[in-house]
Amino acid sequence: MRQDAPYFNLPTVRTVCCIHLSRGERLFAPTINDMNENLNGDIPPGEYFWEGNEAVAEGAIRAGCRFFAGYPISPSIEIMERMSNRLPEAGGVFVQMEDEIASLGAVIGAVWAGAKAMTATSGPGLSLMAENIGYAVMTETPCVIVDVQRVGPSTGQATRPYSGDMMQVKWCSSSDYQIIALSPWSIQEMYELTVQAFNLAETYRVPVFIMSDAAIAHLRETCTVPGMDELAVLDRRKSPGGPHFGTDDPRGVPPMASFGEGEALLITGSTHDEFGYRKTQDPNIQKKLTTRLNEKILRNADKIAQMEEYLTGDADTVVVAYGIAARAALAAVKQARNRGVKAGLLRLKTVWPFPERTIHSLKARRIFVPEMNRGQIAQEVQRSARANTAVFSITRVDGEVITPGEILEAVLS
Amino acid sequence: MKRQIRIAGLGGQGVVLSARLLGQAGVIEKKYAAQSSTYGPESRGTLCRAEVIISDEPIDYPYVTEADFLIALAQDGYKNFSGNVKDALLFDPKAVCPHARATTKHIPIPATEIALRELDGKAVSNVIILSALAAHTSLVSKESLTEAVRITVGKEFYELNLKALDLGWRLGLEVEANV
Repeated sequence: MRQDAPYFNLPTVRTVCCIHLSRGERLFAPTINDMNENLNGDIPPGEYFWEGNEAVAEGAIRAGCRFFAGYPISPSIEIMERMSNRLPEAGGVFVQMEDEIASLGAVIGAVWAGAKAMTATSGPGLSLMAENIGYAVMTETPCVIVDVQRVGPSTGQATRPYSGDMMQVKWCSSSDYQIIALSPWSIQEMYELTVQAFNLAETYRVPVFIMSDAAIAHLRETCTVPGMDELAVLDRRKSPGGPHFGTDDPRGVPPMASFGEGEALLITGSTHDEFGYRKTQDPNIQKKLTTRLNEKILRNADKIAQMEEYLTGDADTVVVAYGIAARAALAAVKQARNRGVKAGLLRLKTVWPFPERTIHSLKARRIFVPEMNRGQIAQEVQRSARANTAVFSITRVDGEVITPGEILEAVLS
Repeated sequence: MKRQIRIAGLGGQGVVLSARLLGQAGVIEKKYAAQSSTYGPESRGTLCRAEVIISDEPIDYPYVTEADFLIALAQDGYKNFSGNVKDALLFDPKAVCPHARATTKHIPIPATEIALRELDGKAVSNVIILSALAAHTSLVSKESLTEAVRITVGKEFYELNLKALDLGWRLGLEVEANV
């Protein structure tokens, strides 16, 4: 068993009113003392026939998430619903906020109060979160944001799947910064990558995004919940006295503190030195801080980025895919092999930071990038691929899931 | 073996629930199962489809590419998905008026009528017709489906759904193909 530190140290937290979404009941989360005593609530290991959203919620609880704030939006709602049921059981706090801006604000606050915290939304909600994403990056606040993508722009088609936020998630806030974005392709991965998202957030003190979509969010498959010793859960690195906002290592990640631990904590979205003091006119501090915020991710990209290869050994045609489109790609690659095409699949589990070196190492003659958008990641692949490799984008833009047939047709052409 | 099943109707008819029960029954039989659903933002009253794949092998692509079986619970669902069904199409004659020149095997299951007559109008026609499909095709056993109902359906509706399951199972064994 993990040894958890007490989650909430704020003595003013007494009771928190939660709206119980599914039954309209009002539940009262336990008081601070109960929270510290009852920290499990993990469901027993075994096999569950979950839908994607349920697996994300359970993965979060397994990773130690004890705070969720959100604003309901299709197709992410089941995450919120399950968290509203499960967090009180697990000794945590669920809050329905007035909007997505406040949701991420509450998550950032909870993290600095010592909790692991998450929110979930869809593309339009992510747009509203853009400001606080920048704030979380600048203050190095580890948090997890689930983006259950749907067709846009704007309200679009609320229940239809799309991968339209792959660029929004990377670029939505202002200035130069890095985030981590994971792209699960199965319900098992919805669970496991959620746990990893929390681990990555704690390791690099950065917002980590789970790029789900309406299709995988409502797909139901068997998810095996492993035993307590079989899945690593990383907890917050602490170093009393700090500094909490800087390291000598230009790619380093400083340890964190929480309010209530007796540390003098200054947290600001303005440029700050390693102790959090605002330095709003010092070019050296500006350069040092923002260089480290970027380099701590970019220079560790090989450690962060995860991918899987299928049949790529002798492949002259490689399909590069992520998320649910990779399921179609795998079926298409197998069918292409049956027809004598030396096809393989490179599946990106991590989309940001983008695995440029891996793409560049592909010696394929042709690369196909199937996506449920107008070729957002295909551009990244094109940028990273060798000059003599032809990169083709396969797009599906009508809010339906891309099929193996569409990919096979392109590969055979 | 891989079987692909599509259930189409209107939101609120239990389309997604019946697909979930079938998928759960497949899992209980230690098969690979994937169940997906598509519905409108209204949730209720507009076209809703749910899909199930049950397979002995891991499922690469978890969405139905060619349905072996279709359950049509509403005319809108029938209209959209009856064109491309391989083996058989089960429909509720109270809710669906089939094409005169349809070539797929059509099996009428009077699920709504039975639910009204035997179960006092309770909204369980989805389970009746699903159970009839399972009985007719041996997709899953009655025991597995019963267990799936127990796991999935709330306690207050368990007995009612079991009755629906029984009625549907009998219908599924009795039906003659009506092409």
